[in-house]
Amino acid sequence: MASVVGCITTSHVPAIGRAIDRGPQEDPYWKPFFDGFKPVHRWLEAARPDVAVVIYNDHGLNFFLDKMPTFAIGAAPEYCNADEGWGLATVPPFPGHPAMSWHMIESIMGEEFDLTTCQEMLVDHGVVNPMRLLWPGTTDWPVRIVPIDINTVQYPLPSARRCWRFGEAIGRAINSHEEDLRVVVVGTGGLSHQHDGERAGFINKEFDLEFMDSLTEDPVWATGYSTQELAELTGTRGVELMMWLAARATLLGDAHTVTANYHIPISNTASGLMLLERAE
Amino acid sequence: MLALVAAGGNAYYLAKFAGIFGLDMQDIGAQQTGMTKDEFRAMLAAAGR
Repeated sequence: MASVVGCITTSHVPAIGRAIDRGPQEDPYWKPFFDGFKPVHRWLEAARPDVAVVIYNDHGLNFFLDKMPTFAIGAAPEYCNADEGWGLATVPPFPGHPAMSWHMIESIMGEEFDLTTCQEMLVDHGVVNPMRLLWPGTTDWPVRIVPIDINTVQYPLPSARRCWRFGEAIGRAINSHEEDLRVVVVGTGGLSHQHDGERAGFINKEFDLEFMDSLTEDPVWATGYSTQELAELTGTRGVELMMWLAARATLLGDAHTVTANYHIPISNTASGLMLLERAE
Repeated sequence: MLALVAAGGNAYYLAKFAGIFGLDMQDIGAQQTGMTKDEFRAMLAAAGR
């Protein structure tokens, strides 16, 4: 049977992709961010996952505002990247795992989450940057991926509680897949940031740190807030913490932190990184 | 930018739009908050302390 071997949550902002391409990882601005991934690389070498289920939000590369699914999942043999502006280089396709995707779709739909299924799906920086952070220096990806998109772009957004339950359903879907596969779940986005309006540049360190602690101490803590309250507390784009909640929920029980990092600022964002394992 | 937001513009698409003009997120952050770019960057760095 497949099993979730761990959960990694990380920021995904476009500036990370440019930094990887242009190579200032050792600059004082970037070093505290990139250094946080070194323990994750060691863990991945030991954990040797076969599949990465990547929970992220698309930013207009695959879904335009005219058709906006709340929850969408890939079921494609491969996932291409494409030009999304900002001078971001495109990367080669990511191999998919259609059989596992379809098992997960059946399982998750069986729990009454009505998914949009995508047999073609472009993946943007929400997938690309975390993959490049986790497996630097290669585009010969060592894992197959199952991308899962949660709408945090156009209101109304799903509630934090709904995203938590969605994550639990994803975890059960993975663990009931018959093939022996080691699966890492990656949740991308956040943490606090806001790009629009008079409050642009808003960051809430106190809330972010409490949220990161909560993922081991009281993981449903953030589900007590409404989407509007989370936008108030974390910035209009800080609601991307929904992906962290869903990814954490896939562990289906208590968890402990293997490594964590938090650094301000990366672009206009408080960057966060956590690697969690199921507590034995 | 503020007028585009008020007109219903979505932040992600406005960011792509600004990118066409070679503006980055700190440029449009500074413009919306009435700061210089350096002041805006300093505000971001201060949030980490």
